[in-house]
Amino acid sequence: MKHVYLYLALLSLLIFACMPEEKEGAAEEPAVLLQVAERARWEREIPLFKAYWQEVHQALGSSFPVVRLQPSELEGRDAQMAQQLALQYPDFVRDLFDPQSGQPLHSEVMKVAPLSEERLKRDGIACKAGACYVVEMYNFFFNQTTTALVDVSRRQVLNISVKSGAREPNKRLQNMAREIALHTPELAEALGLEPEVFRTLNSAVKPASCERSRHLGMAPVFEHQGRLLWVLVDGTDWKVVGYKILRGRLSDWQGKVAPVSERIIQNEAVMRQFCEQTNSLQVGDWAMEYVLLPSDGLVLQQLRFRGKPVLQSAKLVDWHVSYTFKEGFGYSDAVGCPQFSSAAVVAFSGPSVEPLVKEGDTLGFALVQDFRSPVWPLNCNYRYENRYEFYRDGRFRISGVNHGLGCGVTGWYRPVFRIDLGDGKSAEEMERWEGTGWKQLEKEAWHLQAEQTAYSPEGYLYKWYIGNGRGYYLEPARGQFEDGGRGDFAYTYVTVYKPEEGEDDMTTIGPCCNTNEEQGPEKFLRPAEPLAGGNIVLWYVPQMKNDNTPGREYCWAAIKVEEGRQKSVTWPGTVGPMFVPFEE
Amino acid sequence: MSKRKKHPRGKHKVATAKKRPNAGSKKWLWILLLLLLAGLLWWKFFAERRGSGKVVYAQARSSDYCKTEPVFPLKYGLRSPLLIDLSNRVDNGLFIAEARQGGKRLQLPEWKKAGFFGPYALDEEGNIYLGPVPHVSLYDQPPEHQAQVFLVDGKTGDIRSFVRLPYAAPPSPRNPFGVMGLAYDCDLKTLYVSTVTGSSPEEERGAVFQIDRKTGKVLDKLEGIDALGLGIFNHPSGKKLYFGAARKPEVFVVDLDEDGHFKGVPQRLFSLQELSGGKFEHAHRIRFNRENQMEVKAIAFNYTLQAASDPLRDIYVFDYNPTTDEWTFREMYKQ
Repeated sequence: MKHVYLYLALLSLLIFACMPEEKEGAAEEPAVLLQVAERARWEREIPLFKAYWQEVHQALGSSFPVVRLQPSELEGRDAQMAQQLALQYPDFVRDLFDPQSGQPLHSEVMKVAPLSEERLKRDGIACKAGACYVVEMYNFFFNQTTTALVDVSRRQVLNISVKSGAREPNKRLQNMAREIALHTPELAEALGLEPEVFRTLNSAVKPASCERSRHLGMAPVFEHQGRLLWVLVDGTDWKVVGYKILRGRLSDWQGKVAPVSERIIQNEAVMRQFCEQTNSLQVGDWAMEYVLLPSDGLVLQQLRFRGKPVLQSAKLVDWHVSYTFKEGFGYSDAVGCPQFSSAAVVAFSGPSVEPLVKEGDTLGFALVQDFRSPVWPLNCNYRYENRYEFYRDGRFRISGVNHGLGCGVTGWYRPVFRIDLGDGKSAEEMERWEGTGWKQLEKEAWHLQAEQTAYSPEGYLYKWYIGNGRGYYLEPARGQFEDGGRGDFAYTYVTVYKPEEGEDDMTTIGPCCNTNEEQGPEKFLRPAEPLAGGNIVLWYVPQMKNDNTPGREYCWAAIKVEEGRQKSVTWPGTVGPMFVPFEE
Repeated sequence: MSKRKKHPRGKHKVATAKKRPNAGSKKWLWILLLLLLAGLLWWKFFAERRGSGKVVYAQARSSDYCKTEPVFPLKYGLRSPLLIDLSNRVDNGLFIAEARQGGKRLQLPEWKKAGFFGPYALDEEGNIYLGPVPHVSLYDQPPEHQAQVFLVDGKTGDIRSFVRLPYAAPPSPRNPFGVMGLAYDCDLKTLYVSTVTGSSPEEERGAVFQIDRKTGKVLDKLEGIDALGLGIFNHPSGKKLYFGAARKPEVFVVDLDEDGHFKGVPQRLFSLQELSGGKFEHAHRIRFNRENQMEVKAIAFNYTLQAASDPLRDIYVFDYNPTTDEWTFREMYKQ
């Protein structure tokens, strides 16, 4: 008994030692991607936001498209003079218009401040005390900051420099970012607070990076009971990108940049929600599972229609890209998860569900997953989509979309699909239309959908029995799907299912630049095995050529000016077959 | 001295004789001074003084100060100065080019077979050490290919696998990278290699190796660390190896002992993200220039092949302050 206190003390010590360490900046949970862009609502609800956009439009409509700092935002007459001197200096304002179209670009003064003693000393600038200023102007189109060093006492601009990216945004933009966060209900909910309480929290706005979109980033941060809610606001598109909750206090972050950026939020959210777990989706009569694979894109699994099994799995393994201007030059692009993968073109967000509407009638829905190179649509960067369409009548389409831009014209794209219909247990058969009728395929084989290929009167090429007299016709794209597609011209490889032949996430299946049937799946045909009664897997490799001819663009992208900022325009190329159900 | 000049010659002699002990001591003083000067010069220019297990470097500088160009390109008609070009993504592999506008370029056929390269280091004989790197896909360069260092002979241009690195777990497509950084130490004639082979989302299983230049033998290793760029700097107090962390926007430093072995635990030096204009990106290359500036080239590294295709590069520059023996951030700019 006399040692009980000692034991208790030791036990407490042990428990204390085993407790997880409470670190400053430690994550409460992974980041959450929101992508809330409600500019119209914010213009209605936030007077500051509305006034700002009026001023931006006014500036863009003038002959000198610069949003300046107002006298009330500047400290003293010298600061006003510094801004004026900089804006009168030709090199400072040389990028106010798009050099190609001549359209005005959104430029905005972000900072006018006295040059620090440290800076004066470091750069060897001789100035009267307090007479030298730094003036920073951000160009939203080029995502660059032009800096002028101005000597107000001599009415002279000393130096101009241009650097990529943004520096600290001005106070008005910071206030707008905070207001937008306060008007985004998901953020108050993340802290479990009512909006009125959320508004009263201690807050600040820190510089942050939108490194992928190359936009102006800001991070409003809100403190609540030892936790910090870090929000990322894209100040170019005015969008709440997402948030992350960390332990800590605002005072710990004096003079520091935000611990969130566009890439951090996107990567964490995509990995956690879509790469590390399988998700389910049920819409109407359709039910399915999907997961993002490290390097095979969005795989669709266990697809059912009205409760009946339709498909075991479908995925897009690689995009083969070749260019005719140099033999053997091209890439085998894998698409997939943004971390720990051999994908070169990765997911920046999770999949979306879009309605399929024709003439006001909703025909079904599409499950769409986007993949991008880091700075698409710049040269040699790519953007692809997995697109799965599901129709009310039981048809479904497995397609791939190519948004360019690639390394120039004369580019050929060959996506490699792996499609496994059925329930994985029932005996399957495959027939091919041979001009006058359906002919059963006895052995594994490949075929090319060429100009002279014959189709059934309905436009079908294969008839795939998945068991119990049920099955699906395969209807290749020939430009009939009203999506701008110009046809599949696909190589198809009918193979017997083997788990080692692509069921798991695959590394690169084949070389980039073969123009014949040697796209990778042909290796599963050697030797050609009988198909009878087995589980069939279809490999499908469509082919499309890009085009930048004005008015005929295909698999192409461009950057245009919209409200003084960059707007990406694409001419997608879409390929992939439709599956049409039959029952005998 | 001026008084002595006034003495008659004989007297001077006497005086000299009389003063012999004094004159002798002056002579010895001169010799001593000369020796001291010679010692100082030696200390200044030949760098090191060994004692009590500690190496002291008088001249603060990069440890690859002896690196020299290979001579074999001269046989192919190239003229110095030369540069190592690993940036070509159309024709894979190593190129050596004349460092002038429109200069000649050289790629020997066997180099191409070895694939794409990322980091490289030169030694005092012009040998080129190269780290393979996957570019866009794994079709030609599977993950196993990345766990080695190639060597191009500075005299002949022949390429060979110099060392295959051990790993804690086998390479896999989920982490297609191997060698990430290389640094050569001229004083110890050893090569340092960082690798992330075998690392997974859950665990850092990479290492930094010290490799004997002659034998390719691993002399020491720092395990459980995923490091990218490497750089070694001779501080007056000893050698330090700097490395960029693969998962954080941070640069670390670890002491090296007189044999170049790792000494103590790596210390965090700074975070790129906390610097003015800094970002959450990773120190992919670290080099020290002749002005004793540390240049950190940073990229977004996510263990995907996107990293190898990403054209975005930021350079962070730090000045060495010899008085405080510390680094001061100067600027960040885009490459």
